[in-house]
Amino acid sequence: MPSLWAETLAVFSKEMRSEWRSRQGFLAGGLFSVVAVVAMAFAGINGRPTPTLQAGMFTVVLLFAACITLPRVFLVEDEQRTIDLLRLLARPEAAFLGKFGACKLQILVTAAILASFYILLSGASVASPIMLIAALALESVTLAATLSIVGVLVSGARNRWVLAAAVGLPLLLPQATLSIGALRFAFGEGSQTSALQNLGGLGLFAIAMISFGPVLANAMWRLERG
Amino acid sequence: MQPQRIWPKVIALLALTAITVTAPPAKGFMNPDLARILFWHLPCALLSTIFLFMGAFWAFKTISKPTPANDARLAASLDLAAVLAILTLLTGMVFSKVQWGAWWSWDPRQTSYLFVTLILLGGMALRSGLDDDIKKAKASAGYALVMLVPIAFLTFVYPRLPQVQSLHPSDTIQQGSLDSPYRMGVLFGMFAIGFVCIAIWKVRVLARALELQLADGAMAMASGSGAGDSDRGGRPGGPVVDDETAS
Repeated sequence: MPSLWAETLAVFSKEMRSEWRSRQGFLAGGLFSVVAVVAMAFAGINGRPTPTLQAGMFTVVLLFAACITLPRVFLVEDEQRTIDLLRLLARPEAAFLGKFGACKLQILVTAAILASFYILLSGASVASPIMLIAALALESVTLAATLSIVGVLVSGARNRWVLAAAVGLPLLLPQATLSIGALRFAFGEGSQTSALQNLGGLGLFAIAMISFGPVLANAMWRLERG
Repeated sequence: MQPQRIWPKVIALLALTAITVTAPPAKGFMNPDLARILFWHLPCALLSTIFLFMGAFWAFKTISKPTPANDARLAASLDLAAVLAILTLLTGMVFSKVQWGAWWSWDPRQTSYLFVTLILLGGMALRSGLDDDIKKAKASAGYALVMLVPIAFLTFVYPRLPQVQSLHPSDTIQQGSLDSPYRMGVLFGMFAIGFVCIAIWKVRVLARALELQLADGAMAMASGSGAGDSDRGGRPGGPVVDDETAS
């Protein structure tokens, strides 16, 4: 029997190959981010928003882009009725972790596109690039972990696409407040201590969600098999 | 439920209403008379948190043994937690208007409680979107356990962060800074509202069990076989009414 790591890697590469062929997730997430950034930059054409407002708008766009694109990694299996085959071939934990890895990579790319376009179009000044990168990296991991869990929960539901956003957004609200706290320092407002505290909170959130995800996937999928 | 058993709950709520009307005005408030809303607001908030953790307990039981009885208890706990959270928000908004001059002040505690309510409503949305009983039981149990992370942060960590400035008095009960009539009123409010909520919880659990029994009976009649042979149709295994609920 292959190891958990090998199974996880197999699921991850399957997801990446599938995304490379269709490019649906990257295109949808990337396009949504660019359009949202253009709209935001246009809205602030007559005056530059404060760093806190910039951090807020940035977080909200990333949150919505993630809610639109990430659950797809789980829900598409449900729609194509390939989820049972996947569960036969890989342990639930490996299936979860592999898909979580794919989600993480996807949202990291989306966050990078979003940040570049946002800084380019809105002319926002970045006071702390390290904080910006750290906040985006941690936020992406938390978003990927939480929305992977949501993907597991809503698969099989009637209106699963809408439900994923409806269930995922409230769970992500605390994480969004932490992210805004860290990003506002990156854009030049607030204290470093407060930003670091927010970053620590984001890290703890990420650890909690990543630890809980495989356990939940096992509980959800193991019993359905038997 | 026997009709005469409703009276103790009605009496408890009437007594709480009487206490609310007759309690002395509170000192130190902009509108001392309307500070009595505390007798409803604080018990609703505390009981909502209690039902939420009760939901987490039944979620843990449902994840390990997804029986209809466990699922019914989980759903009843989370629904009550959501209703109490909405009542807390509404009474809080009245308090906010009277004492702080606006229905909504974006106070950190008020906002974090709104987030908690939205998370609870997300759980209800998830339940309503699933048809299969096993999937529904397991998904809502999973959600109830996952939501503990953001809810614990929003309830216990975020309002106490040093940089968070709240209009809400913090740790009033623990510090014993409530006047005696108010302390007693809040305690009685906890008892009265808790008494009613536990009764509703029991009725909800029993109603769900009876609903499942009726569905089983109808299915058995339709298939022309005994109830024991009926197909459970995607329903979690185990007894529909267990000894605890029946008692």
